[in-house]
Amino acid sequence: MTQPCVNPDHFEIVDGAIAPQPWMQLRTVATAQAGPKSVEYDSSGGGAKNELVYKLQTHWTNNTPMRQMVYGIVTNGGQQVTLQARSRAYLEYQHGFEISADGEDIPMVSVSPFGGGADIGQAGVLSVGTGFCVHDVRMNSTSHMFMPHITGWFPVEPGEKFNARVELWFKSENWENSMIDKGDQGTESLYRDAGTRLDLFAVPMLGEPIERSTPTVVGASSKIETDTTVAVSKPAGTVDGDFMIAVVGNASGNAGQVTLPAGWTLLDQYDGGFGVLHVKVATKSAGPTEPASYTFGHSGLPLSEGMAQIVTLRGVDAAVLPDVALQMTKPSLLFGGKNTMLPSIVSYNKLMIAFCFVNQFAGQIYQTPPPGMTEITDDQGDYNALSIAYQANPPIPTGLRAFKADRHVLIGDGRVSGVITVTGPVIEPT
Amino acid sequence: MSLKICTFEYMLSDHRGVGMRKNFFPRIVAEAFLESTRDGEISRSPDPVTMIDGDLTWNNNTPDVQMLAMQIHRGPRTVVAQSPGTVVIHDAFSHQIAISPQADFPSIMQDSSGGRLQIDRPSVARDAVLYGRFFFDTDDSTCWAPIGEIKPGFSLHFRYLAAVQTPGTWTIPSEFEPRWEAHARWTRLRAWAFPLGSL
Repeated sequence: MTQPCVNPDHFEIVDGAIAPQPWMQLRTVATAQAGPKSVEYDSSGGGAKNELVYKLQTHWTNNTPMRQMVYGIVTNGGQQVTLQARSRAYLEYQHGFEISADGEDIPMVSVSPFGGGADIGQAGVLSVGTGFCVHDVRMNSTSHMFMPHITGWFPVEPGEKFNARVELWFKSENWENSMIDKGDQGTESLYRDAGTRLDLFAVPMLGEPIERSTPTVVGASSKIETDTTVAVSKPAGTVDGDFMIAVVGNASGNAGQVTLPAGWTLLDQYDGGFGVLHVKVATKSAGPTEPASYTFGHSGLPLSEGMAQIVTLRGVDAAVLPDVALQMTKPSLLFGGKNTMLPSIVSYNKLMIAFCFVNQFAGQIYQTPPPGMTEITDDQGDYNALSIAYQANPPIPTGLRAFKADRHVLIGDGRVSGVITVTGPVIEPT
Repeated sequence: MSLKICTFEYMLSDHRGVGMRKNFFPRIVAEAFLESTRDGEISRSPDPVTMIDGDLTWNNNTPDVQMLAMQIHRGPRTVVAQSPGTVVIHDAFSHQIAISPQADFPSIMQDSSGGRLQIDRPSVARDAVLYGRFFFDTDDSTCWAPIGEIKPGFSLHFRYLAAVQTPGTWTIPSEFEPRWEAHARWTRLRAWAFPLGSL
């Protein structure tokens, strides 16, 4: 008997009979469970709580010949938070995922808290402690989506590994530790959690996956000025059709004084207010005739430095809006710190540009790009430093990585780090 | 006139052609809408008192293994508790898979909705109770309970229970009118069936 003509990726034929391949359907591919856990605290003492209740992690490797779309459901068995008055605390879920990595350093995001607290209004000079009051809330078992803040499911290519992690934390906004009037008999401070289950599901994806090409870095230029403007030259090699990303910033005046030259589009900005950090990220598609330099605005206040840097990229699909995230790190007089963390974003774009703008009062700082990234620029003024690096085909999500300064960043307005991703056009099938 | 070809799991070939059998697709195979019989004012109930009680059965009459998951969809819950008392509505479920399944009575665990705002100690006298009332309202919520594999010819029996309970301290004030309430409203049970896949 001749066998019907079928795609073996979709159907299997055993002894002449046909059936769908087991990966050609919605199915559970991985499961993890943790808990239950219950903790009671002394209700008239102790400090603020920020405790890991438990964590659960699982992974699934796409061992099929098809691209699979993965999603997860997190099911909690029920929760209870019971607190003495003035204490306010909650059980908080954090979720995180990583594709094709070891799954050991997954960036986590806060997803949803459950808890509460009460205050019975005991106050005044003679009321050092608080009165008796117990606030108790309980929540049924619930199921919620894994990574509920991200729309869509996660594409996992054949051979790729999808790591999923869920953590439950007990955190207090305020923890009452004074004496309770007439003693603490009958008071309670506790949480109970009936456990969590994480299920990962996969659904096959038909049709050819859409592939995009990876843009390349052409060149860069940088400039520091104490004048009211900063004129930075066009990066050498920039031609018609290239894509330019500018990072400009200062630590004086107002954000409105950091103006963009004509033809540039603001992508994102950090505005710390008058006299502190302002960082703008802008883009421009290079046309047939481009000037030799671009003039950005600056406050021009005495001793203040305005910085501007431009990176030219080739092979960028300008129709796809870049993904961008900026993050402010406050200065710490006591602890300083050499590392400035980058925000981690979920982006399917093919080229990642990351920068770190540092303001400090104690001399020049040299920065080393994060692990896996290649330095494009590293410019130093007397008070500001700006470094830009890139990486092709960054991990998803981009990960919590740090620019490292050559010494502690102590006094200053802080640092602004950012991630921008761009992608090339769709590769048409030949 | 089409050629009838030989099929096995989750497929069908007949005079109209060859295609997927109905049991290949994720679908709702059984559903029940349960209403509360005891919404409103309540009195002290140290042992859980049934508000919603119901069950669902499904027989796998397809020729292939099916994976089952129960979706428990609760209506909004409301609790009113006079200090120092506690009012909670428990949810519980149990299931059995067999040729003729008979699931156990669902036992109450850490799955409840409600609470208290207790501003008096348990030792307070009736005429000294302070006035405090706790209102707790939740939106509707959903919980998935994985049931697992059901072989052809086997059945599922799923039981569901919502019960109100007033655990702990309970003092009835004598100087004013107290009020305790519980509203469970409704629960919808849905059994979803999926084909058995590969990990």
